[in-house]
Amino acid sequence: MADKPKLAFYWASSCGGCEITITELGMRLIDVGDLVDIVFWPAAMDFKYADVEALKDKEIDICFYNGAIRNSENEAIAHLLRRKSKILIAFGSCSHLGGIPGLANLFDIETLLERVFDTAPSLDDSRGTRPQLKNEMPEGEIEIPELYNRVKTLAQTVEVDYFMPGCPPVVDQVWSVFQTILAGQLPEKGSVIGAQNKTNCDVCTRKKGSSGMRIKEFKRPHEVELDPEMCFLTQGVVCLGPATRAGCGLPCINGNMPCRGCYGPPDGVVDQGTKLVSAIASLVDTDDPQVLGQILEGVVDPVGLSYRFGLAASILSDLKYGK
Amino acid sequence: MESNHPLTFADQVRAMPGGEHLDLCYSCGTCVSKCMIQQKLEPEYNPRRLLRMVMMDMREEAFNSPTTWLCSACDLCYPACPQQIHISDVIEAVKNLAVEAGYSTPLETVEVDEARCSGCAICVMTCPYEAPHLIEKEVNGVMDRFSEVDAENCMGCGMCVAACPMGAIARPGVSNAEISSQIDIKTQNSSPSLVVFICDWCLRVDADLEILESYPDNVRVIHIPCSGRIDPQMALIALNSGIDGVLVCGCAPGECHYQRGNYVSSCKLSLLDKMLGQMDLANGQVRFVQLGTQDRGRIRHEIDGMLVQLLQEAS
Amino acid sequence: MVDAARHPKITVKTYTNVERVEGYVGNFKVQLREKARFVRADRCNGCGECASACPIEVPNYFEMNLAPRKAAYVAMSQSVPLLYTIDQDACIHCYKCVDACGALDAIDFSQEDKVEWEDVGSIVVATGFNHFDPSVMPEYGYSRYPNVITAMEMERLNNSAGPTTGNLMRPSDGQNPKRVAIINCVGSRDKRFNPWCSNFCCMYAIKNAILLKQMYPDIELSIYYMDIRTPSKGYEEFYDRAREMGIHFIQGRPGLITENELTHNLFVHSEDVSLGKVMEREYDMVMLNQAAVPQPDVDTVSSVLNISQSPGGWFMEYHPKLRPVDSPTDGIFLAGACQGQKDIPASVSSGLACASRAGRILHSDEWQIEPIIAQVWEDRCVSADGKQCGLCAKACPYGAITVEKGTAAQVVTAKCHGCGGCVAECPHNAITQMHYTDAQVLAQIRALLAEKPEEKIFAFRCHWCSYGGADLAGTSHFDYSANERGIRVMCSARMDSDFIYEAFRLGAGAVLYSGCHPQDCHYITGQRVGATRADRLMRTLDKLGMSPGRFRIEWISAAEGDKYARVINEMQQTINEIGKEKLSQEIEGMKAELEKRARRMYEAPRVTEASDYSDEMALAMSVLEVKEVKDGK
Repeated sequence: MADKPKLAFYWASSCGGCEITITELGMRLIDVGDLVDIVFWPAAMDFKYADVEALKDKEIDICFYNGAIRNSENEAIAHLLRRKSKILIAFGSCSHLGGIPGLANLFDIETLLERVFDTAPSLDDSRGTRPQLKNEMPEGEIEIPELYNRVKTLAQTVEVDYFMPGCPPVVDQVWSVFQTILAGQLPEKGSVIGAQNKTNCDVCTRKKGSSGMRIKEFKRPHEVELDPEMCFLTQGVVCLGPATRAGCGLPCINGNMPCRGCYGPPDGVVDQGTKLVSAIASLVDTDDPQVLGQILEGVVDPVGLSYRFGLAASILSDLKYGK
Repeated sequence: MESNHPLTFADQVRAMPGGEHLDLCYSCGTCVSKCMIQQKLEPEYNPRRLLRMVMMDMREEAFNSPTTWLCSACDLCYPACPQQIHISDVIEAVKNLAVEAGYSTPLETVEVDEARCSGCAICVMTCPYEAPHLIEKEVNGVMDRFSEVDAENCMGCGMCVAACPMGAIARPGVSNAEISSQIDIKTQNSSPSLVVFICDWCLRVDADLEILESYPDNVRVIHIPCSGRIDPQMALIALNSGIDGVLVCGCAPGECHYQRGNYVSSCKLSLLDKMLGQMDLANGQVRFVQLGTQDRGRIRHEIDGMLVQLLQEAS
Repeated sequence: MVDAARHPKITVKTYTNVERVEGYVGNFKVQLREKARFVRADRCNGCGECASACPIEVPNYFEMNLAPRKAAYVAMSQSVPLLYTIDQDACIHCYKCVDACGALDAIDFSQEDKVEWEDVGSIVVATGFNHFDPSVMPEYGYSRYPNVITAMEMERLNNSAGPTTGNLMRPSDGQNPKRVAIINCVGSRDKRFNPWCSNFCCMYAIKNAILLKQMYPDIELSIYYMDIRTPSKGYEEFYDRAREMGIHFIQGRPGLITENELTHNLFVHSEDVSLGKVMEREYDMVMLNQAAVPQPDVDTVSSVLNISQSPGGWFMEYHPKLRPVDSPTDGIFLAGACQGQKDIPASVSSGLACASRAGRILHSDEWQIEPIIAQVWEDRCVSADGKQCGLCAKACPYGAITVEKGTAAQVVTAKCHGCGGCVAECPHNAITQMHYTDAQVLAQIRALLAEKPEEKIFAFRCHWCSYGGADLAGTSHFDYSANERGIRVMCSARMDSDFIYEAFRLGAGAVLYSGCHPQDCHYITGQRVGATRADRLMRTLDKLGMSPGRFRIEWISAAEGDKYARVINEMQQTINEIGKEKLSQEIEGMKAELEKRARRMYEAPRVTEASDYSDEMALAMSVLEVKEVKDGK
């Protein structure tokens, strides 16, 4: 028993999809259970933070941390798990790049709170209730975690050993990573695991564009009947495939939907969104400055489009909130 | 009357699209005075003389002339030609015949790193000259797809380098790393810092280049072959490193040396501006200006204006 | 001008427009509109007190808008007659001029335009030319850079009577320029604007350069040129003189002018063609030597006088070499640059020539015209029966035919030039053309297609162009098919559809419909009438099932002998490819329709007896009731 590697899973600011992926290992999970010792997995079993604190430093062999760092609790546990773990893996898009929660970096915290607690049309609260960090309750003072102004990735909070992208990471990749870990064949620290090095276009079999095929109008997927054989870009639909690391197995593209970029940028690319913008802007086809403006109006939400999963990790967020 | 002579070199060119008005050339030199290449790149470059060589059937001389190889079909000359000769078409016809005859371009052209290329074809669609194309070949027993650049067609503008989402394309002098490494300013005083990305062609006269060089250290000038080479990331990296402003200078609409680079850069910077706006960051710190061939001295206004604005922002 | 005004037999009417012209050579009626000057010509003595009193200033067009003039003004100080005019667009009706005029009482605000008709025997058009506006060429920055001026502006700035009293100043700062560039061919020899050489600008540039050099010996002068053209007597010597004076002649057309926005100095970017090198030279002032272009109202003048225009808008002469000052309309003559860009000696020569041509008419009691004219058989004309037709009048390029319901169409003999368009257009064969009657033409067609018609290429050629082209092909010994058989008519407008139907009915292998290029038509718009008909014919024959290429339309000038030979050879190739059998089969298949179409022509007077034939067509004709109509005239 003592020889089995100790594993921990944690769920910070995220939807929980990554946790579900692990359960989707199905019967293979039983094999995992035989081979490892799970010491912390609050989503699945009743572990307390105190249990973790009780562990010795570096006692956890591998910690899978999913979710972005949104509040003081996420941050504190990240530090705690870092201290207790030999290897810390940022698991899934949220901890890797900020993921969907990272889009909150478009707005400052006050705007967000105002929207959620004051102006959302579904609200029915004339008292203007806002969450308070400390509250006096009959049971005594309770405290809730502090919401931070900026959503951060795990790596922006603590040192991370490996990154495993995906929203969520696909099951087969999770399984192969487990096998890699058990075989002790993890690559150099700082690497992205459970994915490939090139982009989705490398594995996509759609017919690619040719010379002179350019974009005269940007369309959103619901505005056009998409040809399942042709590259989305040739159809005027922005696909993040060219700027996104391969490894997911192309479920979106095979489902005739453009890639949204959850696997993040490939090796050697710092900022996924600006790279994508540079690529699609290069395809706009006009020599009329006015038409050019009209074409670009078709890109309704460039940040949401090109940084759907990567805003927290982006240079834009650094610029807005400081490094 | 019909002639039974075999086609001469001049006839071959005349038969190609655009070559039909070849013989109308007055040799007036308007094309040469419009063209930037002789002034900026190659003193021997001269479209008028190339046309003359073709007319006089001087095949080898034409193939060896730098004019044959350096024309980037910016077509500044065409609308100015009093005889409406589509000069770049004639030059391209000569170039095609030269390539057929086994001559090759003296230009330094881009190369693709196959270890990185994912075969997305964005470079293929971006290139104004149809230089890159996709090829399939076997790597470690598996068929894989790559972009390959046809050196005879590449003009070295670097638009593909910026467009490649993998950073798999480069040529010496215009790689991402080489350009990014120039983005550093050490400002001693409180004056605002500015990075100016300037395309190699938008300043027509030497006097304007002198203006550009006259600024102190807080203005960093980075030369790029075409404004289409700019990558929005470079602007963000500059701002993130503490630089106050980024000015990108390209050619006026219709005057791009590489046909569409200025439209591409305009798109990139419009989208970047929109993104900065979405992030509530837009305050004019990144600006794109298009300098026309007659905008003598305007570069000074643009840089001064930007510095004044940055100073006001700061205070 | 002063001499003319003093001549007892010359009346000078200024500020007067010609609005309508009727009649014909020797008997023109001209409607004139003398515009109201608001100054009485019989009282004004040109003292100018009104202008001194007038408080309103507007740009002075004569000074190229470089100086003001008053609302009470004369166009220029040498105006003849020297009569002041009140510009109603500018006048504020303060009546200070009335006070200033005082006892002379010449100012009359109640004046109205005076419209009157005059009888004249001949008309000389001397409406001159205009200057090209270089502001449409952004590369030279005219109207944007203050120190880029036009040749006419230079003329005023360097004129002692001009706004600066001859002191050459830069518009930007009033300084004397030390370095001046003159750019030739601005808008001339430029297919984007005007393809022609404007003829006099080279000499004009040299003249201006020499004048400036004499006035300011230290001035640096450069003339940018493509070619220097000095073809007349003394011109080359004048050019030499300019070179000897140290004026730089730089061969190379500048592609660009840039400006230093502080000094407003200009940088001319041009290749020095001799050096093969691009130069950027700095000047204080640049003069653009603009093209000569037709007056902006040429279209109006040309429609009032019914004279045609050459490409570009210059008025067209009757014949470029032999009758260079005659317009295509008898009795109307073209003097000076309205006919084409001319320098002063050439303009004077053409003016004198016009005077002599016009004098011939005024001194003749009778006027001989060409005998080839149209005549109407009044009893065949449906207009006489009160029906609506008028196709003949519509086809006439000269307005020589008047059609009124109830009477037959009338041809004004003196106006008819004999193109034959009306003859071919008349659906009732009610007009004939002397020397080219239907009977005569048909007899030629029948004679030429009497033997082996399927081998023949039958060519209709117009007298002025394609007949000359065929002639040139012969005299130049160009080889072309010996199967060609051609006849001449005056104009493609005369090529009646029936002639073509008849040629095919007789079995012709191919038919060529040829005439002048549209701009060369001797009969103003005759070619257009012919071309419209030919296109219609082409569609009909196509529908009837004729192979493409058997009927061909080609516009061939008298200089295009090579083209004539090529076209005939190509047609020969076409009929070879189709093959004799198919050629005949096609005709057989179309025969009924062709007969039906050609039949009406045989109803025309004197056709049947003139064409002595006995085939089935004649039989068919014999059963028809043929109207016997005597030659009406």
